[in-house]
Amino acid sequence: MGKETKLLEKIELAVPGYHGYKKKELMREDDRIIRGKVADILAMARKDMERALQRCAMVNCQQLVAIDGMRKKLIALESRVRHAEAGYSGYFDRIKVREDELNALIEYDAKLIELAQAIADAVGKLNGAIADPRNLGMAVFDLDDKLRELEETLDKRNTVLVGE
Amino acid sequence: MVQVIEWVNPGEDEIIWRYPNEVIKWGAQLIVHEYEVAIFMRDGKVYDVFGPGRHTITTQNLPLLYKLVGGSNSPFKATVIFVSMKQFQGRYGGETQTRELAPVKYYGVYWFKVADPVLFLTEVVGGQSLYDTADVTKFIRAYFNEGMMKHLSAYSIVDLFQNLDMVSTQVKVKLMEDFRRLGLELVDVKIEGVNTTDEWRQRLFWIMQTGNAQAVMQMDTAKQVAHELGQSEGAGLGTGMVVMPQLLQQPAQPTQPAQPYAGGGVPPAGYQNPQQPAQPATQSQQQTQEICPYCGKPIPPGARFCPYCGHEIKRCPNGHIVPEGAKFCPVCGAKIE
Ligand SMILES: [Zn+2]
Ligand SMILES: [Zn+2]
Repeated sequence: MGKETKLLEKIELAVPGYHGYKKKELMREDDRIIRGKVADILAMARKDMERALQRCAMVNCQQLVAIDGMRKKLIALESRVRHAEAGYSGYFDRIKVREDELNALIEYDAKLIELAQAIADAVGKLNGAIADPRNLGMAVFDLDDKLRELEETLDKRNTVLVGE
Repeated sequence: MVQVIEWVNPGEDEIIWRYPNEVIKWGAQLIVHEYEVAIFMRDGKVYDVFGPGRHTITTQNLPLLYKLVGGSNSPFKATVIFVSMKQFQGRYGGETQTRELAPVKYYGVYWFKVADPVLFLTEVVGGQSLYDTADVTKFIRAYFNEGMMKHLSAYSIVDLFQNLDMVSTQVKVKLMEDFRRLGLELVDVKIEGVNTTDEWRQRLFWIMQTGNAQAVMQMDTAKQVAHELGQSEGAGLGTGMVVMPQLLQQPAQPTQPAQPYAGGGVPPAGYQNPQQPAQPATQSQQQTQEICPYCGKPIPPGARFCPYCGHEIKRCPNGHIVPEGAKFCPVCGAKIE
């Protein structure tokens, strides 16, 4: 129990207005603001990434196509996070939402924020490594890993919201 | 009757709409739907901006225009433009020349949306006095095409056909920058096809096969290249023959990156791999190292179509790859039906 409380406090600090699904009538709102926050972080990261693309094109770096591919992935993730999937719109209307499900949700929320931030940081590193082929390769791999991880976390969060 | 300002049922491709009545009354109802922005303009200048929602036009929410009309409460004149913030798709196609002045045709699709409606209206709608979707769309397409032509012409024909992925990404990034200047976001660009004349396709074939752009470019016509290479197995050596033996045996290196903004109209200094000195290839080597002359990717021995670009691979009766339109195999001299 202590673990969830700590997580909750951490999220509340980063995302004002989040209640951790404690009030039935605010659950949908909690879900919305978390997704909004994560999507905003990803949007900033995308702008940063477009700057990286431009610099990469300017110095004719080898990773251009890879970086552009990651930009597309980032756009897709951003829109997936921002616009809730139709599948789980009914989740919060259920008569009873189980405690352990809500705890799992809080854990995924914390993970999402953490990963979005990690992606933003990785893009920052990428941006700094454009002129340095050795570090650039590593930065590309690193960012790609993080994007993948976010995708997986989103999938898992969805299984909580959709499945039994 | 209360004046209602609303874009009713915009069509799928409609990017802007001008409210037909230029006389606005205070107290008018302005309805802005999701994915729309409404902007009040006068004399091509942008004044006040409204996001989605239902707004009553008052002196408070039109501060700039209110000041402009001198603080009077009588109806005033303004152009109300609605801008769609949705994503649009456009098709393009055109002709340009590569760095070596090879003519190329290209076509494809691009996706864009308005990112900064005020900048967009200032630059495109007000700036060009284009007040309906058809005109705006036409302008954007022309702008895109102009950029595409300009950026593509910085590349060599080998880059275009061998590194199209890289080239199109580089061009896209450049175009993104151009679009940003109009308040637009270029979401993506796809080049679906690039083509050139038969003459240049044959020349390209030899550049790809031999890996030596310079030598091929020094010959006047592709026919001359084919002719002189065709004689190389025979006894009578022509003038071009000094370079030919190593020309024939050096496969192109498809890993060479595209060289765009290196500037100048200078053709690339050849696509030879500097680490690999010319050495005679054996029959089996040649068979395992076949390269598609149209996209530069390795193809399975004997393939009749390139699995990457789908281009037909023409062969002589002995299985050598021959350029399109060739009458004789340049390697063994066999006649080609
Ligand atoms: Zn091919
Ligand atoms: Zn032959």
